[in-house]
Amino acid sequence: MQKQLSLSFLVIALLIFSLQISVTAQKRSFEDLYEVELKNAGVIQDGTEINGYYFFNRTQEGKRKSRVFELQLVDHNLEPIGKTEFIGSDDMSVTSVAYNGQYLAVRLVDPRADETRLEILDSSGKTIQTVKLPYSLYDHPKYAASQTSMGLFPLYPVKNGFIAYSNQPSKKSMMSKTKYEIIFVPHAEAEDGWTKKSSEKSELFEAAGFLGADDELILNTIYQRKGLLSMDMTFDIVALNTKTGKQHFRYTSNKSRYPVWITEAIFKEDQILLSGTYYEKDGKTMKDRPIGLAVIRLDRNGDEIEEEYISYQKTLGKKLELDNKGRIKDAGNVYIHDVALTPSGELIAIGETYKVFNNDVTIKDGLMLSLTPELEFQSVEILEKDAHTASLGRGVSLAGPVLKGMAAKSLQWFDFEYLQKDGELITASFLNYERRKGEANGFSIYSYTFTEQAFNQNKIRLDSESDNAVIFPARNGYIMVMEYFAKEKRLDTRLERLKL
Amino acid sequence: MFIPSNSLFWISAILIGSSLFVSAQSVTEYLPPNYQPEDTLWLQRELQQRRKLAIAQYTGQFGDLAEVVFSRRHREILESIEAGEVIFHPPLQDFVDRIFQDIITTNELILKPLILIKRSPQPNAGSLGHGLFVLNIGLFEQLGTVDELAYVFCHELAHDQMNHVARALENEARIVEQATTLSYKKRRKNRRKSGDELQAGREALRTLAYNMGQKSRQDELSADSLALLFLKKTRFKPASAQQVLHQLHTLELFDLSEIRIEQILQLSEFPLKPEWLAKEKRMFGGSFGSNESAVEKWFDLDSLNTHPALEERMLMLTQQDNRDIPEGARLGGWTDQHWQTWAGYEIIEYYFQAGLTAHALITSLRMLIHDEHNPYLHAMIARSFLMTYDAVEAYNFDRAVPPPNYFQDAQAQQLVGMLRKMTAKDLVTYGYHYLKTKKALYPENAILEQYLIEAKKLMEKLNK
Repeated sequence: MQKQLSLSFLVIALLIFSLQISVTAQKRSFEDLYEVELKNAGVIQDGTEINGYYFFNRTQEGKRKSRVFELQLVDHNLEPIGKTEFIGSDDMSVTSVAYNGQYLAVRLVDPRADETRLEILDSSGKTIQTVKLPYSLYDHPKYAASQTSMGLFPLYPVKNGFIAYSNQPSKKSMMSKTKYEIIFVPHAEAEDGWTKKSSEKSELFEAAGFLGADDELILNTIYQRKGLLSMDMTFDIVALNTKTGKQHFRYTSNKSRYPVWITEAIFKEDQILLSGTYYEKDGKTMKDRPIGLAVIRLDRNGDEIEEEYISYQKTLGKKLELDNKGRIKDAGNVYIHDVALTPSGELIAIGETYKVFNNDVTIKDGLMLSLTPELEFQSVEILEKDAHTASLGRGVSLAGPVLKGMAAKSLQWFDFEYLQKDGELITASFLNYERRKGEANGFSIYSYTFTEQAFNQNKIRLDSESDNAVIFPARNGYIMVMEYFAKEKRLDTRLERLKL
Repeated sequence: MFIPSNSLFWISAILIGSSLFVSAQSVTEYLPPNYQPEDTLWLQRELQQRRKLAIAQYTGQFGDLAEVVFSRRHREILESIEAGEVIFHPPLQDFVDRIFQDIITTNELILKPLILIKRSPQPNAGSLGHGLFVLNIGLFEQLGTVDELAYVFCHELAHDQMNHVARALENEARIVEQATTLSYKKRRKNRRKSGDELQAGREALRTLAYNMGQKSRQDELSADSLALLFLKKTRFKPASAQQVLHQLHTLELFDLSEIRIEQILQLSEFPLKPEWLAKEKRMFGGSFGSNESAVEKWFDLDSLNTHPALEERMLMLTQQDNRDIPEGARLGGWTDQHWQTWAGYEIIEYYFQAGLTAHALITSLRMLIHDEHNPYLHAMIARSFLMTYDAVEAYNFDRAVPPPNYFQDAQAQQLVGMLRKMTAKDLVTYGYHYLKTKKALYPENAILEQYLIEAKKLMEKLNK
């Protein structure tokens, strides 16, 4: 029998008259929080599978240099799994949490101590291993969020361990040359870890990001540019052996017919499918607009099997009017946030339109494009939502629209939150702040799902008086919503089911 | 209305008996009762009188507090009635009134009880003091015999006779005092210090709650003792006392352990998909680090259970002399099964009205275990799927279907997991085929027909 809680005998009796069954169902609240930072919460996923969520909050205990923080875990249904504690300074934060089916890895950053560390925990919450990672300015909480918004997550679960990424400026300045380290941390002490670093001799600015993995290979995107102001960034794909860290192959960007910004990779039987946006042959990826979508098929040795390209003129242009610069008439530029390949090979691209004027960027509608496995146009959907404008600040007015779009992306101005794959179901979600006539303004979630070759739209109004809201991917056609109420110092989380 | 006078008692018993005989034949049908009183003015007057009587009893130290507490009690009762949370069903009301009257008369108690029956599925009852009693419909659904009901009524009468509401008043005074102190400390400027003081204040409240809980346990034990004395003077079986406590102790409202979902819900025309039934993996098997909050740990104490000290109470009762007196006479009218079944239907309806479709589905299945050829229950099962679809369309799914581990029973968890994984179309398609299958078995049943028509329309809409 469900137990009823009460503080007095009379209230127990009177509770009989409060008939509300406390089935707030999939809502979980964290109350009486000493301090809340929404960025200290996140999703824990293993590839495409959502395992749960973490919340990292400071408790009331401890002194300034040794505060007590609590890491709480809930499963994909928001049901508590458990919690553990960490000690750190006031500024300590969590940048990422990963679960590989056996152990939990927590990447902790303490800017005050210039420290980044990875703690591997077992099911009892006990730390079985602590690995010091190179501290990077990019680890600082104010930069970490912009990295994740660009799809650069610093921690991933793989078989037998975790992969951590560290992109560091060579000096204590964001302007200095960046180098990368890809670090494999095994969860069993008996196993050997490895580190893959960018070459010391290289004069290039380099960074690395996770692209995909199976039991044998880890695919990484290596971003390279000649200088900080260089408008041409290239994207090589480096496959590393999971066990040894040795390079299995390197697919360099100059091998493809067009420059391609690869953002997605899937392993399909004995092939590796890469997809992303492509540019004109002499195009500069930081300056010019992408002109379409590309799929490159490699074998497991990195040798190219096939390249396929389809322009926006042949896809978006079928339903929308595009000018010769690839802008949508009346809507402006398109920023493609992400691309996904379904297991059956359909390609889905998610973007948002934006206009630029001087330092201002106005974000407007969402856009979803689907292509058949043969890369033929299937459908395009426009998601109409409220526009909003933000200013990039001085000194950016001379930059082109592409760079301004990237700046807006890194500052998380777009409404796009995530693109999620769950088998054949693809979900793209946007969080838009709406002006509502006759009532208080508030957030709405716009979510598009793609399944059985069709898009399905959902709009969920968040009617509460929350001060801030964040959404995360969830399983099986749900969205996880997190709302913060500043006055009550309360964090509410719940799962919203989409109409599917 | 609630307590017929002696001169009317036998007349009404005959009338009620005959009407119940008619309704007792149709346990496969259900008509919602009234949720508003027939004579609102009379009821309001009765409640007002009891409020004044209650306040008048307390002067001095608790005078002001009594005014607050009993006015609040009065207000909450009226709000509850206004919200449609109270059942006004003459056959059930008279059945209850007769049992109460039997106990009162045989024990020569001076009392004019006012009994309200609430729509809550929780098998519980309460004495609010001054002859006011509340019985949850869940009690009727769970308790198997009139004797068991009689024991529960004796227990509540005992609380009333021993004036346990007075202790509640004392407890309320202590809480108010503690809360006031806490609130004062919160206003202090030095935040760091007030953080510690807030913590100390919370601890003090918990200690207070625990101590109050201890007194509550003592009250329960003494009420049991007196209840047994009451019961022995009546025609009801004293042994029912232990049976009631045993049932409450082992009760699981959503127990589907006697069925297998994959068997009972399997349809040849629309088979259950294996992925719907598969158990989902949880991180670390569902357990990591510490999984107890300080508060949860505290409030897990038995003392704050609405049925505290069950084991102690059962032990006490075994030590009492509870030999059966000659066979307890049934009061006639409703059979045990009739009001149990009716109460079950009422609870299912309550869940539907509250939008709790998973609760409705599980309750229907639970009842089906003992009544598998009941077309009404089959209709309610199908209705659960269709209403879950409605909840998806209205973005209200989280209200309709809780997380799997909300229910303790493994089959209930599996069922909830299935509802979460079925698409909106699956829910309608399943509901439709379920109704079609059952309609073939019960072709004359109007309720199955009614829902089948609705399901067909939904199917057509989805297939457009």
